[in-house]
Amino acid sequence: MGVTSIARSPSSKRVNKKVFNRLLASPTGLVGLCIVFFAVTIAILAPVISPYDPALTNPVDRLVPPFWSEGGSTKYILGTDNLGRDILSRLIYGSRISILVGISAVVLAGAIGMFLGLIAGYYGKIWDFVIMRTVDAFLAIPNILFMLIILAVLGPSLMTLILVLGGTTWVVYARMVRSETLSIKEKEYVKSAKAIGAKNFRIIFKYIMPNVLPSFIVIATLNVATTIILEASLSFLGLGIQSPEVSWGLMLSDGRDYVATSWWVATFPGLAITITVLGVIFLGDWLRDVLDPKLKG
Amino acid sequence: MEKLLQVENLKVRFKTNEGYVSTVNGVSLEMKKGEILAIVGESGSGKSVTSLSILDILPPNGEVYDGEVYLEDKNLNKISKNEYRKLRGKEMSMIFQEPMTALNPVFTIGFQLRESLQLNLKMKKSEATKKGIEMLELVGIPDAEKVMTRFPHQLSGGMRQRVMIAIALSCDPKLLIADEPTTALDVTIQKQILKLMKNIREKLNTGILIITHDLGVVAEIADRVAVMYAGEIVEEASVFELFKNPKHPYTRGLMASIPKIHDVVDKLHSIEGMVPNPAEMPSGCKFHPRCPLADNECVSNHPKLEKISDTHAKRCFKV
Amino acid sequence: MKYFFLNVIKTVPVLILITLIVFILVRVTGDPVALMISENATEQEKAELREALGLNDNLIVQYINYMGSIIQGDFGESFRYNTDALTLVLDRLPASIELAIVSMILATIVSVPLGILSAIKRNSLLDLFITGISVVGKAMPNFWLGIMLILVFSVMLSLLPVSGSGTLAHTILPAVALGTGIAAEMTRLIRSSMLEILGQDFIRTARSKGLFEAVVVNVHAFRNALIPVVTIMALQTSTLIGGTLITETVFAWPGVGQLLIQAVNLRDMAVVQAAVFIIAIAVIVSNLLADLIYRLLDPRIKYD
Repeated sequence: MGVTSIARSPSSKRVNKKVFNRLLASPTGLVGLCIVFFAVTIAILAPVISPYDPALTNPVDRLVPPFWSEGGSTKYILGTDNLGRDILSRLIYGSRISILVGISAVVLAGAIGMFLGLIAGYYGKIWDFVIMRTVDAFLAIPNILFMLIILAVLGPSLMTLILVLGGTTWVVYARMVRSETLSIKEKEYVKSAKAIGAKNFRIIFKYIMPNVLPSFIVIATLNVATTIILEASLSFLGLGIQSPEVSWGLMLSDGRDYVATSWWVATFPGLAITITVLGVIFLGDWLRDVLDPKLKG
Repeated sequence: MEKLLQVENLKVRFKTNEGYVSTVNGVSLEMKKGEILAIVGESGSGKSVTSLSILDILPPNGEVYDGEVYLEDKNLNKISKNEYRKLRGKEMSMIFQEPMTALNPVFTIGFQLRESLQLNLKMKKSEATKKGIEMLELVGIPDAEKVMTRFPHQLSGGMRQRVMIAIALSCDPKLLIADEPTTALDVTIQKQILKLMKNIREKLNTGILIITHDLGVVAEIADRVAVMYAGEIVEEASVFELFKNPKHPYTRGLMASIPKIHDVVDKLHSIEGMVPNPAEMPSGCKFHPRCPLADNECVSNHPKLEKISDTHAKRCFKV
Repeated sequence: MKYFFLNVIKTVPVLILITLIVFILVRVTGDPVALMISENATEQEKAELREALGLNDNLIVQYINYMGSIIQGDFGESFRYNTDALTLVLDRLPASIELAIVSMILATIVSVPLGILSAIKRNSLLDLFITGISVVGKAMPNFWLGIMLILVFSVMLSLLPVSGSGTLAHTILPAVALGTGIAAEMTRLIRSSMLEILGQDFIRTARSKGLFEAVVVNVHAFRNALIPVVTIMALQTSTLIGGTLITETVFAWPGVGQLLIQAVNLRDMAVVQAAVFIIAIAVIVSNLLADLIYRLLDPRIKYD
C-alpha cells in the first residue's frame, strides 16, 4: 500500500517517475494506455487520415468485401456497406462519436454526481435524505429504462443522448463521493480548518474535493467503458445517433441486416467497440491499482 | 512407552517474491504414545509451521524440502498425497487457535462433526449423529443434541473450541496437534480446555503436541517441552527440569518475562529485540544478537543441540 | 418470512417514485396528445382526446387519476396494435422470462467451474487465460456478440436458426449472447470470492479432517464464496434486463424487450409505460428472490 499517500501528496518529478515506472511494470495498463491514446488520436485526426467521406454513398461499389477477400480491392481496405460507404472511413469517424459521447456523458454525470454527493455527505440531514432516496430509486431500475422513456419523449439526437446518458448514470458517483466525504469530513485537517473559521464552500472545494478525486477518477474512467457500450446499444436500437452521422452502434445495426451475405459490415465496428472498451478497462484497472488500492476487488 | 511421532531434521521453506525463505531449519522431535509435548516460542519461531507440515497442510506456497516424519513406524515422506489425506482426521488431527474462524460458518455443528466420521470411519449418518452427540458430551457440552443443529456463530468461543476438540477427537486419533488452543479464550475457559485435554489423554491415551507461546500453559499440561527459536529447537527438557533449571539464555529470558504476581520486580526482565526475519538470519548462533552472553564464538559458529542429561538438551556454547 | 414482507413493503415507495417520474416525463416534457395519437390525426381528434384524458385538469388531479388507472392495470391502449397495453406486455412476458432464465443457467454452468478453477490454480497460465477471456467477455457488447454468433453458427455453419423463437435451437444463440457478459462478471466474482475464502481458517480445518480436496473446495469453500456472489449478482439484475432488451431485438425474440423498443421507436406511450412498469416490477421481484436466496445461503443472517 502506501501508494495512496504517494499519489495524494503534491506531485513532484520523483512521484511522476514512480507512477511511470508502475505503468511500465503493468503490461495491461500500458496496453490500455496505448489503445486509448491511439483511439483519441484517430478521432482527432479523422478528417486527415480518413480515405473517404464517411457519408459518401456509392451505389456501384455496394457491399465490397475487405481487400484480402475474394472480390475485394485495396480501394476499400475494410470493404463497403450496403450503401457503398467506405467502412474504414466510417470506423475512423465513428471513433469521434464514441469518444465524444463517452467522455462528455461521463463528465456530465460526474459533475452532477460530485456536486450532489458532496452536498449529501457534507451537509447531511434533509439534503442527504432526499439525494440518497433518489439515488436508491435510480438504482432500483435499470438505467436503460429511464433512457428509453426519455428518448421516447424527446426523440433521438446527439445532444439528447449525452444528456440522457449523463442524467441517468450520475448515481454511482454521488454514492461514492458521499461516502468518501463522510469519512474525510471527520479528518483532523478538516476539523482544524473549520475551527479557524474557513467557510463551508472553501472546505468543500479546498479540502474535501481534492481527496475524493483519486477514487472519482478511477470510477469515471471505468464508466467511460460502460458509456461507450450504452451509446452503441442505443444507436444500434435506432435511439441514439441518427444517419448521416456515424457511430459504431449505428454501423452495427446496418450490419445486422446484411450478416448473411456480408460479414464485414458488422464485424469491424464491433471489434472497434470491443478493443476500445478493453483499452479503457485496462487503463481504469491500472489507475485503480495506482491511485486507489482500497477500491480493489 | 511406544514411539508415536518422530520428526527428523525437518526443513520448511516458503516461496516469496524475493525467492525462497526457510522458516523451519532442521527440527527433530520425538513423542511417545499418550505423551503431551509442548513446543514453545515467540510468533515467527516456526512452531506453527512445524505442526502444519506434520499434517501436510502447509499453505500452497510452503514446502518441506528436507527431513523426515514418522508416525509410529510409517515414513510419511514415502506415502502418496491420498494416503496422507487418509491419515488426517483419523490417525492425527488438529485444533487451531481461533475457534471463531476455524469452524465453517455456513454448516451446522452436526454436519461438521458427522462429515469426518462418515468419511474416515465409514459410518452411516445415524451412527455418525449418535457418535457426534457422544463426542460433544465427552468434551463437556451440555444439551449436545441441540448443539448438533446449531451453527458456529450461535456458540460462545469456549464452546466452539470444545466443538473443535470433539471434531478432532471423533475418529480417535493417536496424535492431536493443538496450535495455541487457548490463546483466544479468556482465563477461566482456558483452564477448562486444558483440563479437558488432560482428561482426554487419560481416557483415550492420545498423544498431544501442543504449540504455545505461553509457559503457563506448558506448566499446566505438558510432560516435556521443546523451546523453538528462529526455526530451530534451542532447548528440550522435561517440564520439571526446564522450569527448575533452564539452560539456554533464550529460555531463561522467556521464564523471566512471565509476570509473577507476588514478586516485587524492579524491572521486567524480558528479552530485547525481536525474532529475526527468516530472510535475514544472523550468522552463527541465531540468538546471538539478542543474547547477553554472546561472544565471538557465537557470532561465527552455529552450536549443535547437545544432551546434558537423559532428559535435557540445549543448543548453546556458553552454558 | 417477516423480512420478505418487510422488503416487499420497502419497494412500494420506489414504485410510486417510478410512476411519478414517468408521469412527469410523459405529461410535462411535451404534448402528451401528440405522443398518444398517430401523427396524422386531425386537430379535432386531438382536442377530443385531450378532453377525454382529462388533460385540462390540474397536474395533481391528473396524477391521482393516473395512479388510479395504473392500480387498476389500465395503461391505456396501444395505437399500433389497438389493444390493451398491459395485456400486450403480459403476453410477451413469458418469452422474456424464458430467455433470462436460460441465460442465467448457462452463465452459471460456465462461470462456476471457471471461477473455481482459476482461483485454485491462481497465477497459473490457466488462470491468466480464464481471467483474460472474462475481461474480453465484459468488453464485448452483447448485441455484437449476438450478430457474430449468427454469422458463425447460422450463416457459416448453418447449425442454428438466425432468429425467432419456439424451439430449443432458437433459444441457444440469444441465451449465449445474453449469458456471456453475465458469465464473465460472475467468473471474476467467483474467482476473487474463492481466493478470499480459500485463505480462511476453516478451510485448513476441513483439510485437517482428511476431507478430499474436491470436498474442501467445492463444498466448504464454494458454499461460502456464493454468499458475496449472490449479493453482487442481485445488483446485476439491471444489466441482465438491459441486456434482454437488446438481445431480443437482435434475434427478433418476441419478448417484452423487443416490444418496448418498437414502442419507443413508434412513440407508442401506452405500451412504453406498461412495459417499463412491468420490467420495474420484474427487477424488484428478482431482487427480492436474490435476497431470499442470500438468507438461505448464510445462516448468520437469520438469527442476528
